[in-house]
Amino acid sequence: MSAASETRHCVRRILVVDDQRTNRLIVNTLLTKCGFDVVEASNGEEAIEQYLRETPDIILMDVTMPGMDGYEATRRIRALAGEHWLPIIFISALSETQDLTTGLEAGGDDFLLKPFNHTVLLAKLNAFGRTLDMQHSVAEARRQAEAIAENIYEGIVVIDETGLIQSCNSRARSLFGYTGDEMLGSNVNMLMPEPYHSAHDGYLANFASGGQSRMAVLCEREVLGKRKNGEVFLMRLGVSQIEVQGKLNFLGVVRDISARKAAEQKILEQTVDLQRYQEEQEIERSLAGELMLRQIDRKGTQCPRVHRWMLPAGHFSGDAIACEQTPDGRLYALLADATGHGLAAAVTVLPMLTLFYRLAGQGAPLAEIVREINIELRTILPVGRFIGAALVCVEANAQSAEVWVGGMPDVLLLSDAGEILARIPSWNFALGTIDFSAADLQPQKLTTPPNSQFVLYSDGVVDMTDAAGEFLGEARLEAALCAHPPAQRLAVVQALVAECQGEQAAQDDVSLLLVDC
Amino acid sequence: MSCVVTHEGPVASIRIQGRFTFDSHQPFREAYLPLVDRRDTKIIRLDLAETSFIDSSSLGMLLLMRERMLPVGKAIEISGANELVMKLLKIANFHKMFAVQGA
Repeated sequence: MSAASETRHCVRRILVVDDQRTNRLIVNTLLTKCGFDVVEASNGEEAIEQYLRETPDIILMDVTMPGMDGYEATRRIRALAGEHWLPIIFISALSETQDLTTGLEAGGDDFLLKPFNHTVLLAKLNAFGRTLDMQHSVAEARRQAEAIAENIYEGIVVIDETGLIQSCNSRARSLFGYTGDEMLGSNVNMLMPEPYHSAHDGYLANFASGGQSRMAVLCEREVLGKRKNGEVFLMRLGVSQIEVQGKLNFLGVVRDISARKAAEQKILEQTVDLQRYQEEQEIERSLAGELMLRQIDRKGTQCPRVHRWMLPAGHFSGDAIACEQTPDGRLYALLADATGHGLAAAVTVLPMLTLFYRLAGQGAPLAEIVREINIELRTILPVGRFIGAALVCVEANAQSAEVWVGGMPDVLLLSDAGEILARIPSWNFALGTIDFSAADLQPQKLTTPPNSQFVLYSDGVVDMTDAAGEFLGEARLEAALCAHPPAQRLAVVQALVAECQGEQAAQDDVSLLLVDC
Repeated sequence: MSCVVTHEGPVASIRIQGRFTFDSHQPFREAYLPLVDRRDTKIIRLDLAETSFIDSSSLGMLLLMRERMLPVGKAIEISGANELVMKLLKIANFHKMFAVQGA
């Protein structure tokens, strides 16, 4: 866009004020021809009305008019326009030149003598147009800068070199809780708590004299601010040096980070809490493991006809093995899997083990052991907690046995040669689930040939998956068991589990119990 | 694991996706508890078609849900269990306590 067209763009409407109709007509015709939009007034009062109604960009004002003259009209228009500047050019006859000073004092910007030269008039309009244009773009730039400063997230405070606040945006006002009037012209130390409040003037003086703090001032850092209500808060402050009309000013950009800091602190506290909780949890888990080990390693588990293997997933994931032999040679074995893990699982398993050892030690029938344990668990366990269990009782002569399974995988009876002589499925609910009827309590009776072997295992064995996500499964487990003589079966299952687990962490307790008949 | 609840007349279906284990406690509770007071819901169907695994903890959760639903007269159905999940339900004999489809 050329300068000329910009001028045309800026000066569009011209108000021509003259009491002589002929004069107005001449000027109007000329200016209209040049592309201006012309409005007219024939005296001072009309000029004011037209100014308000038509908002002209320039006024050509006759001096002498009946009623309100050009000077008075100019004074009033200037008063109405306030800070907004519009050029007013007086048009006067030669005889009035002595009054030109009065005209300029009244607020005129220039004058033209009648009769005026058209070229001179257009040249003056162009010159004022350029000035208006420049003023327009400066005002626009300033409006934009102000809009940015007002809407920016950060508070902005500008101070002079003595610390007096020159300007501040709305964010700064809301951040510190003051009105603009309260802040403007006040010392910026009003926004600081002690000792900075008292020391700040000294900082500035030191800075002005080129002191050491120069670098410290001009960087971004976390400092304390103080709101009008006295609240002290942490803020991030960036200070830069700016020059305004040859004077040194400082521009401070402020961000309230008290909320962020509080959140960080909270996260830190929670992390500490979590760590403490995890440590407590770890202690509980190891306690659970310890409790279970003590129970399992009691005398009975040392009996030579029982072979057991447990691979706990953690300290204790709920699997338990127990066995007891009566003085007359009757052998009891138990494999259990409680809901949950850790101490919670351990506390459900312990009363079961206590009852098992006591009743088995007395040689009680299997049905009675199951009934007593179930009654106890029904009393102490909340809904949703139960213990899957498989119990085996081999008679002293090793020719027959009883088996009860509730909520556990099939119990197998294998021959010496590896045939599956019997498969005893879980006909019953897990212990602690429901009140059992007399029928529920009845174990399955089996005859046990010489060198036959019971196999009890937890679902952790068959439900474990290899790295490819394949389950170990009953088929593979049974095939491995059947392919080996009784004495090798424990090692075979250990190898199979190790192969399936590979480098993976244990998923669930893996428990295996073999009972020789 | 996630639970999606849908309503169709008197039937509220809870679709359980993924491994239904100890970690599922919270989402499962949040899925079924609102159903306790829902008057138009008479049957709660647990849709296990997308359930890959269950453990003793989730079986415990089923018992807890049953405990809440029986007194308010709502029936529980279990459907869509895959082979493994069905095996685990049967080992625990849950097909005797719940209406398990295909058991």
